[in-house]
Amino acid sequence: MAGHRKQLVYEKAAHGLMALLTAIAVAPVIAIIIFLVIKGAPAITLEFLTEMPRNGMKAGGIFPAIVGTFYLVLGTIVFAVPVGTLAAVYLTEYATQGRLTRAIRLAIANMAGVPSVVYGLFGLGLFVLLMQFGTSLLSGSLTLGLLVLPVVITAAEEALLAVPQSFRQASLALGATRWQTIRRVVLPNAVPGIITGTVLAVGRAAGETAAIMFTVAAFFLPTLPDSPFSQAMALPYHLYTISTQVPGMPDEIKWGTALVLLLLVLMFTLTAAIIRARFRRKKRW
Amino acid sequence: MVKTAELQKKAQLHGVNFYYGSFKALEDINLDIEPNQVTALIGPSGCGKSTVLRLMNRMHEVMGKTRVEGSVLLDGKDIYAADVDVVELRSRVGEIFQKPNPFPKSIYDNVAYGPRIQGRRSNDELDGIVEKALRQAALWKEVKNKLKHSALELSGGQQQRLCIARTLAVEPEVILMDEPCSALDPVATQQIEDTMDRLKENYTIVIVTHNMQQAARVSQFTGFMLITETGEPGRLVEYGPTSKIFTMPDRKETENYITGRFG
Amino acid sequence: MTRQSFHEGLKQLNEEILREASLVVEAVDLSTQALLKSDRSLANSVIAGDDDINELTLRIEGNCLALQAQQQPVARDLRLLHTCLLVSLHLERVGDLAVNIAKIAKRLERTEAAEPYLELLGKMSAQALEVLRQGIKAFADRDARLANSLVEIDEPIDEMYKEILTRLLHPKGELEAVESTEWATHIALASRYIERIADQVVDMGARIDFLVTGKLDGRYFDNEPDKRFGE
Repeated sequence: MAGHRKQLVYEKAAHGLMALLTAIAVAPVIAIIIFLVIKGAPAITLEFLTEMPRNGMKAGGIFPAIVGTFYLVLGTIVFAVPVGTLAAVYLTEYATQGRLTRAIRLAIANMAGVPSVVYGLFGLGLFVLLMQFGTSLLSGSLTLGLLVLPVVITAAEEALLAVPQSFRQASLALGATRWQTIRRVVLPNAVPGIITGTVLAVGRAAGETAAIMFTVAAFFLPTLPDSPFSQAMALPYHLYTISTQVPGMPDEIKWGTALVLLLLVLMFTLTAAIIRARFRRKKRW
Repeated sequence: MVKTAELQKKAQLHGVNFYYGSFKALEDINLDIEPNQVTALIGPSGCGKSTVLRLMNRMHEVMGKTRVEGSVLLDGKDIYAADVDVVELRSRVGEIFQKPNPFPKSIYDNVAYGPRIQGRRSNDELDGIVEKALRQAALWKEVKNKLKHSALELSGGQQQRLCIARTLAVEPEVILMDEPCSALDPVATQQIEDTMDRLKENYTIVIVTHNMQQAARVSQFTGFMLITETGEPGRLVEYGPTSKIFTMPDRKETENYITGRFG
Repeated sequence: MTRQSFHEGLKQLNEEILREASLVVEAVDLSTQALLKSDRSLANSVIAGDDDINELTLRIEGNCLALQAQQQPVARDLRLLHTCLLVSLHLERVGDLAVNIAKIAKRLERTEAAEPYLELLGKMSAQALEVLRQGIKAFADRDARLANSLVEIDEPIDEMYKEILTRLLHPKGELEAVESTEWATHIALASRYIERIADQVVDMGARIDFLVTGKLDGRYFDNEPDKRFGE
């Protein structure tokens, strides 16, 4: 059976090709990580992570940038998660599915594709100038919130749709209102998915530079931010400035900052994966 | 003035036509449901039996654009009237679904779900309600020591009885069952049938089943439904006491179906 | 226990059969007493009481039908329903035979020549009543051995029946001369009715054996006409 043997050869060839391509796809990511680790690890000391920058940021630590990023992430979550979740709830549970909902979903998908610099400029126009929040954590958080909103909405929708219709029917048949059903049965079971989506979104927000450039980021602040209206430093922007604006910046510091940023993003992604895995084991319907 | 004889019927359908969008799914359904009896609806797949069932708790309204003509009465009052609170209606007319669908919560929380929705909070009160419902569903002895365990740990038959307990906890008057045993093994089926038999003392039960022998065993009244061909609306061909339907039905179509000469 | 209402239905059916049986026993007992004592009022009460037996039989038949239609009985439940139906019909026949005896009781002339026959009839009917009682006990206890032994308790009745007929048809000596055919006909019929009662019970016994063993055979249909007349 020559035909059969030919099929076996093709099978092996395809198998090998796909493995090769996977390796090619994964290799750069691993390469970047290894590269950063080698170059940046020497800079990572306790001092680096907890002290203010000195000497025009050529020495000392990046603590304020870390703090600034932290506050921004918090603000992004505070804005994007409730709004995104409730929007998803409206789209999946309340709105009659039709042309309007399709149009809304299309708009959301497009939002996800808008370049972050556009968000930055939009945030500048709306939050910083028009609403007069100025360059501040508030403006930055709102801008980042808008940026990640499509991701949150999509993840929340996916999570809500994954809850079996049979639960909703059972609840309604018991004499519950739609909101009671959502609050007591649908949302609690969608939470893992929503969290996962949130964490992924937040991971992206933490690494955004263009969106925060015009809305919150400062080159250098001697003090830590103390109110939503303060300006703040942030890791991505900090990395940009020390790499391009400061002559004589020690390489170590640049790579160290990049490594910290990368590790931060990786941490978020890993957390999302762990949450997803834990809840997948518990889900049994 | 409502006639006295009608007052004695728990639920009635008069000249009901039902539309899914523009498709007419049911035509001229006339049905009287006797109180504290088990009424079965039988017929081939797609004849609209489940649709008739859902007319009685308006659950079809959850599933898209539907239209009802004619009247559906519960204790003599039209349940499609403008002043009827459909949420309250559904606590009077409960439904058990084909595939057991307990919430992914504890056994206790499943049964307590309905009462909590209605605003009951006191633990003592809920404890009492949960126990009573589980006893009525013949499940108490098997789960009384693991009320806090997840409902999903139970077997199929137990889950279905849990769903029955969950419905009983809101103290409905009518219980609708849509092929409640079709996902269960014979032993579990027997348990559900026995439960149905006992429950009819305090509740009115309407069951849809594709298993004729089950209808013969458990019901006191049987309705036979049919569609003449696909695309046609479902009709109620014959309705009467089960013993009569299964010994000497009036209509040839009924006899052909239950003797297996159908199609 | 599962299928509670079905099993209660079966229990009820059993009780109805036993109630029919007790009515029939009473009818046979009273009718033969009426015959032996020429008691008209007793005879009338038996005739009137047959309505109750018929009503009960009809109800039993309806219940058997409904239970079979709705409960899909199998194995011993199926055999029980099948047997109950037939036992009920056998009992109803016995009740009718008692009525026939009661009617004869009203018509029979008590002549001197009749007395020896009445004595024999008395013995026959006592034996038949015993067979009936044993048959009912066999049903109530589901006792196949007792049911199968009924045919033996029936034999003396067959013997006595043969004796009566032989003597009526071939009288020996003057004392036994037949003066008129009327009373002889009545005696002959009465003895036939009593003999038939016992036969019905024997057939009932065969059904009870089926209930227990599940064996279906043709013994119900044996008539043995030749043996009856000593041929």
